[in-house]
Amino acid sequence: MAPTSIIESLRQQIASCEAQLRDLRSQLAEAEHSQKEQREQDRLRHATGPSSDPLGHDMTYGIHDDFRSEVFAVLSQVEDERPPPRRWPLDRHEYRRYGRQLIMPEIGLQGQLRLKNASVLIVGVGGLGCPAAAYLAGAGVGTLGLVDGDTVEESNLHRQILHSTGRVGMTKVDSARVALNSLNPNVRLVPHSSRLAPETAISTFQQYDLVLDCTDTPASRYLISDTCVLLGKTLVSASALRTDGQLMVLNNPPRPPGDTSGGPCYRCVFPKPPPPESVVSCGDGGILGPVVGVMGVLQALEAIKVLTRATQSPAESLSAPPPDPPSLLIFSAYSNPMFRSIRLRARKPKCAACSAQASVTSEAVSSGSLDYVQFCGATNPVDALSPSERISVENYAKVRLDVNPFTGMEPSKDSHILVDTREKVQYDLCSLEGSVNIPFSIVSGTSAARARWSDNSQTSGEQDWVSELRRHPDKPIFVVCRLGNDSQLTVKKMKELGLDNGGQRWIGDLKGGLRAWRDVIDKDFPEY
Amino acid sequence: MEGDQTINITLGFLGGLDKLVLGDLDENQMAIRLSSRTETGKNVNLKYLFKHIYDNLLVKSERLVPKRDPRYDENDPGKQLPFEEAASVLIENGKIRGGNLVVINEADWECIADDLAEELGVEVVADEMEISDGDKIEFVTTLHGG
Ligand SMILES: [Zn+2]
Repeated sequence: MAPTSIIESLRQQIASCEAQLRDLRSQLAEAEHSQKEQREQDRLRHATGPSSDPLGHDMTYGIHDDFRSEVFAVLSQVEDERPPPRRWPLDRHEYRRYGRQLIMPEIGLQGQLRLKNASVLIVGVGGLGCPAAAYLAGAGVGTLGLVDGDTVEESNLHRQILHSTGRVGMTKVDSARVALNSLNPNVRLVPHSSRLAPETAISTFQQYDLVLDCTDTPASRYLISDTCVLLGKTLVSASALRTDGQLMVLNNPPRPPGDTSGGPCYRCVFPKPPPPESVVSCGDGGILGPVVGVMGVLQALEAIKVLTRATQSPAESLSAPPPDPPSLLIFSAYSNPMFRSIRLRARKPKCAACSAQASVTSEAVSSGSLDYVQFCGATNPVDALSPSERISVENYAKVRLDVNPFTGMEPSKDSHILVDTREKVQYDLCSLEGSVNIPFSIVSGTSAARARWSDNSQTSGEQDWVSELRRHPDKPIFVVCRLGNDSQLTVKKMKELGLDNGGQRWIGDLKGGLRAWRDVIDKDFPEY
Repeated sequence: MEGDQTINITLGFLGGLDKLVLGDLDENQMAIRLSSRTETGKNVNLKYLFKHIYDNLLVKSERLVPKRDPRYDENDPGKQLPFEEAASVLIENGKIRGGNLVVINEADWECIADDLAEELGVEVVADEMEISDGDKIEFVTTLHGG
């Protein structure tokens, strides 16, 4: 689009928004006015005073005002209490809005009414929660609860489709409310604007029929599953990373702990959490927008299936088809076929949450005595080097630009070696001039023992990067990575490999990595 | 001799395990051949397979090992786990680590163990189930992003 037409289109949008705003203001004024009148009438209706005893009123000139208002009140009450029987179960606009799904046998009128009466809690309004909420709001789910304690960041926008550029910095819950309300104003949106905590989980979940786990940590997955089992709610759980996604419908049907006919819970499938060092977030591992989008959309789909099948009466539940057998759906964007379904076990006889021997109780959850964070383990920040093996970005900037603080020498381009240990794809995005890329995956795959051994046999078979660094034994080596963790492990590895020549050559890392470099030294260095 | 027979099975690694086990290969599957009997003459079972994978297949990625593992302490000789022992997110001390699922011919191995237990009327320990020729055994690690 040419810039002029962009400007024109923006002008038009502003004009239309201003018109909308004017319209809303006049609607508001009207509504306020009629509310005021209503209050005035109510006041008249209820006003009684000894000074104007209505019975003392002379009826010759008509009924006393107080009687009149009483009569009106009675008349209007009759209307309030017995509205004319509705001719159709849905409003006219609802037939229009949901028409395309109403005509499907899977939904139909009964299904739509069930959606309308249903309440769904979405925990996490990110890459999964945004598309899930959008489709559930679109489908006419009566109430949507939104739980998230984060605010919108620019790096969310490629996948978290309810948020927008203009709402960066707003809480995710508020941003989602704006988007969902404009999508379907008939849906009641309930904000829960803080991170889900064990203390609040039960009271938060209680009022909902179904829960969607759209979170991104193992601890929250166990907490959500336990809470759903305790409250008898079905749980639709999904996750995604890089190019892969996983989906399970858990506790389906939702039966009390000990009832083996209930569906398995998260603990049945994964009784033990993953080792914390193996848990990779989207921020570290990356995520393709449509991959997490697919998983969120599938959550909405499973939710609709569960809700429209839900039965109101025991008689109905006998005739209702049983839910699908438990399964794990695996999505893999770069595999063929992309989707696979794995058959899952039934409830585990010794499950800590849903078996007869369950140790997870409401008290244990809400009192905080079940420590989910500890259960899943926490990773400590890497602290592998001594202070003398680390340099601040300020001092490194001096090495590059000013006099070398260690030697007092003038800067020169090849006074040192700067090693960047990010993976190649990240290095290609942006890097410091003159740096060499030695990805951490290659560094960590290099065995110190083997290298030492091969050192004796004249470096035959030694990895290229090691021999390359050996060729410049005098130059100090500075190691940098994204955040300053891998760089420390790399320095350690280099010393194990003997690249420091028994301490003659300085090897160290840049504290805080390229993030610190950008924050302190070079504001233009890209943030990703 | 019967003891010399071999079985062919397919191994698969999903959810990011492919990178760990198979390195930069494009495939997430590999075919392997195993002796059908252990040294003591028993039919090979899953436990045997896990050891085989651990000893022969796992790429030794240090990212998954030291420092970040609370059980590791470089100053305490008792806590300096040998590299192999601390190594993998998949197998530890011969057992599958938390957060991983073993899938045999498209079903959770616990599911197969349950079915087998019902069929035989005895308790079945999942990793003692025997492997048959043609089995497809996959390892799925949980994802947590959202
Ligand atoms: Zn369970």
